Amino acid sequence: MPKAAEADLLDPVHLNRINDLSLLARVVVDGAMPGLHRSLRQGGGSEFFQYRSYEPGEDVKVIDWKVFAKRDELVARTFQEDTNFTVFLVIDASASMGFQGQSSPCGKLRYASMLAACMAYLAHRQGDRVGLFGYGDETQQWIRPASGSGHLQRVLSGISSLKAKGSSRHERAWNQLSSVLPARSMVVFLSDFLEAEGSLGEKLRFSLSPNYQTLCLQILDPEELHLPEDEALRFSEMEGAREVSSSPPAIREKYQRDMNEFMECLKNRLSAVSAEFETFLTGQDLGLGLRRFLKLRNLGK
Amino acid sequence: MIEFAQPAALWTGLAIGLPVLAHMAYRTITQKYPFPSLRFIHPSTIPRTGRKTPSDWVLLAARILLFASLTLLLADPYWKSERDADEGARESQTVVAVDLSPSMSGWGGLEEAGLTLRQLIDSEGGVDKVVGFGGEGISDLPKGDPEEGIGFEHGWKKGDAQVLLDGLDEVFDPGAKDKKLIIVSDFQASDWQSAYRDLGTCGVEYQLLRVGENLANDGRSQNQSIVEARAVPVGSDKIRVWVVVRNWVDGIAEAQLSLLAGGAEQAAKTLTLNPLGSAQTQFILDAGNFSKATVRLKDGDSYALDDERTLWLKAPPARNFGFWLANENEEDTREEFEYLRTAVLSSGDGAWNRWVSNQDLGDALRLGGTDAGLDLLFGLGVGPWFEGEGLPKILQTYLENGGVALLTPSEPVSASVSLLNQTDLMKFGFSKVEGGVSRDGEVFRMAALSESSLLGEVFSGKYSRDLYLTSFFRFACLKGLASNLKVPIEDRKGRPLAIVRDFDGGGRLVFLPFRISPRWTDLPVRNCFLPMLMELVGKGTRGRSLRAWPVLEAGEEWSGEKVFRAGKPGAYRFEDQWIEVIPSLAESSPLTLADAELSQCLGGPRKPSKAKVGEPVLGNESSDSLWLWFAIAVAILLIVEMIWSRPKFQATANGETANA
Repeated sequence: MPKAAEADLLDPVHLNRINDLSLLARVVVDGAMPGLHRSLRQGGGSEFFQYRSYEPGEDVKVIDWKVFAKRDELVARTFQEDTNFTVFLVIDASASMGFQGQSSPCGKLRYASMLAACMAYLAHRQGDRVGLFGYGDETQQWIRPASGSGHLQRVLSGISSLKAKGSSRHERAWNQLSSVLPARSMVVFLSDFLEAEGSLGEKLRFSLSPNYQTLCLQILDPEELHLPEDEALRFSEMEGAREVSSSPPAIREKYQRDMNEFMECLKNRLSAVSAEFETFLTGQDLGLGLRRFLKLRNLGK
Repeated sequence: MIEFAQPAALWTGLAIGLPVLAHMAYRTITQKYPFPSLRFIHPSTIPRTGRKTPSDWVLLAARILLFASLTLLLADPYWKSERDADEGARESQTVVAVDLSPSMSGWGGLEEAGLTLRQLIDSEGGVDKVVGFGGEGISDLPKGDPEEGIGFEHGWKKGDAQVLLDGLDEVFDPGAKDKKLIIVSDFQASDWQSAYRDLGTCGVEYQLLRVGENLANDGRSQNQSIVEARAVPVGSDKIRVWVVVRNWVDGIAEAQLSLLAGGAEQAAKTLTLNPLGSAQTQFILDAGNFSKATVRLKDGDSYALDDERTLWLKAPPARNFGFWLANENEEDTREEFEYLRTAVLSSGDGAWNRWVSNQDLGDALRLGGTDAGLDLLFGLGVGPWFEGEGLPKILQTYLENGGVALLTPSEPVSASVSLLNQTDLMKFGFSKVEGGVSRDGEVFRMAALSESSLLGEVFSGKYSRDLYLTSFFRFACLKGLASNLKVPIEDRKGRPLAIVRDFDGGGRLVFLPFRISPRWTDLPVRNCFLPMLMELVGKGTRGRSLRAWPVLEAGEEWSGEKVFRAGKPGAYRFEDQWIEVIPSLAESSPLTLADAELSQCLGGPRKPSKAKVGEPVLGNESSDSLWLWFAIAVAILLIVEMIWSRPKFQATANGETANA
């Protein structure tokens, strides 16, 4: 369990105030989860990482002679090692992801964006290549996997620019994605997975391959589990024009039962294709999600 | 204080409870709520809130006020001052209206009306007011002393029941609650057939009491009427009195007709009258022996007013004509003057129908005096002098007042044409004088008269031969005539030989495009000249009538310098006229309206609406109606209610707007 201060830093109530996803990711990863993630591989990569004291016996190639000339001290340069591992972030940005319940700190898409930003940062810190695919009824963002700080900024900008609109067309998005996935990839789906359980198992069969890890994070608003507290509402579908007048107290019990069945079904389907599944509520802190990410990421090393 | 014309409508005030109930049983209005998926959302019954206390007190108050105002509006409120309230203290009022039309004098109508009224006064309810009505309007009548009997006198003017129905506002006191009108009348058809007012909606209960039915003597048909009587000259020493008698009985009848003159019966005749028909006869009297005569049905009948007719036997005054001349020494003018004066003087018979040359009247008119008495004016050689003396305006006034004038042109003719055009007396153009400078002995003749011509009826067959032989040596060619001008005669090429304009006031202006002299035409020496001249100037001549004297029905007026209003039948001297006044012929008809027809005239047999009793329709309080103010109040409250109860919008937490 994170300490109290760390818990505050992971709380979406507070994080929602930070507009800059880059800053948000550093706050979360560096501030609230030090040591949780694996140390960077230092070695023969191409990207400079930091200086450290030269240890006698090491190859003299690592000595930075310019620093020695200025400071009369032997300093070794370390480089970030490329892992040849790809983290692919797939974010559902359909209209339903724009929902925000009356007591929720943020909308579902915002929560998914914060989570994805932190994951992208974590992956970057571990030397992984990061890719982004954001979709609604059409592709909103498509950033090929790459590494480096500049690429991280592009990914974070891409995440920021996602807008919740249109109806979700999961099948089309997954068809596009599966054709470009490189080997040794980890695919992180962030979606509400509404109406998706029928085709999800079929489309994620690539997870059965040892070259892929799939993490499906379902983002829901608490009201989607318990319904609003109002006595009567005229529900209108965010991804359609249908409206239903109903009394939440009258249908709450059956609604929760149906919702649980749906989530159970979803979980079973994903388990059948070796995909990890976890449900997050928008009021929930980001720590659990990040730990699940790291756990799965470590399996892929 | 506020009173209501429709107090029953106040029951709608119970509807005030509706908004209270609505607020108590407030039904939750479902608010629109965007939701990610409706997959597991099922419709359900929307529960009522079941609030036990009214919600939104301000809105409730607005709605209660709205219903209250609407209720008062439906009740038709009006403001009644204290003075009106005092005047209206009388709870009920019974008014008896007695028909005083001339027909009531026949068949015992007025006598029966008196007896009926006495019975009404003696009855338990009594009578508050008695009025008489007829052609003269409504008049208050004394209720009289029942011990002495009640007598009425009819008016002479034709009766008019509408006068009573329109005048009910003044008949009843404004504050009377229950208004009852008892109409005592013979309900003669001519008086009642066009009358209408819905007394029920006026809050007046009515009762019809029919009198003058003459049931004891076979009903009202026992009547014979002198429907026409005229005195016309026969030669120079005799007068013929021509009389038409109508029989209103559905059976053959005999009428004894006598002519009274000089205080004695001069002649008598017996006429046989067909059923519902008429017959005529005549009496011949020596002219000059009597100035006035009376024709009378000797036996009399149930309706006496039409049994006698008085006639004036003297000839009417001669008609006057005069001249406006530029220079009587000028040859054409002098000859025209002589031809026209002689012709007009010859046109009368010297006795009953006479023309007199009265140059004094002509001169007086020329100097701007009144045109009274001048029947015909000749303007000879109209030219610049005409405008120089300001005569066009005087002539215009004279014509608009019914005068008749004949104008001839001067030389050059263009001056006359220009004058008439500029003064708007006549609008036409002029091209040349045919047969003028280039006269080569050609003679112009008149074209055949069309059937629609002014002279077509006079000159037909062989009588028109002389007209068509008339020669015109010179005449002005007129063209471009205005639409208000008529062309009674034209030459064989269709060029006008006379143009006529009729004025709205009955006047007529005739313009001849030639001088009446042998150098222009041989018309003055033709036999057709006199009838053609008198036909051209005849129509519209004042006083020109088939009758010798004006004959007026009672109630009609004759305007001279003063106004004569006809009343009792007879012969009356008025200014320089004798006027014969005859009773209204319509009143002679024995026909009456049936009860069903009368009921329709008075808005049907229904009782007056109780809601309307006391309604200010018959009072003078319509201006105090508060209906408009309450209508405005209702409109304002309705707007307030709509604004107050409109759906309210507020931003939701996710930044979108939703119904709250």
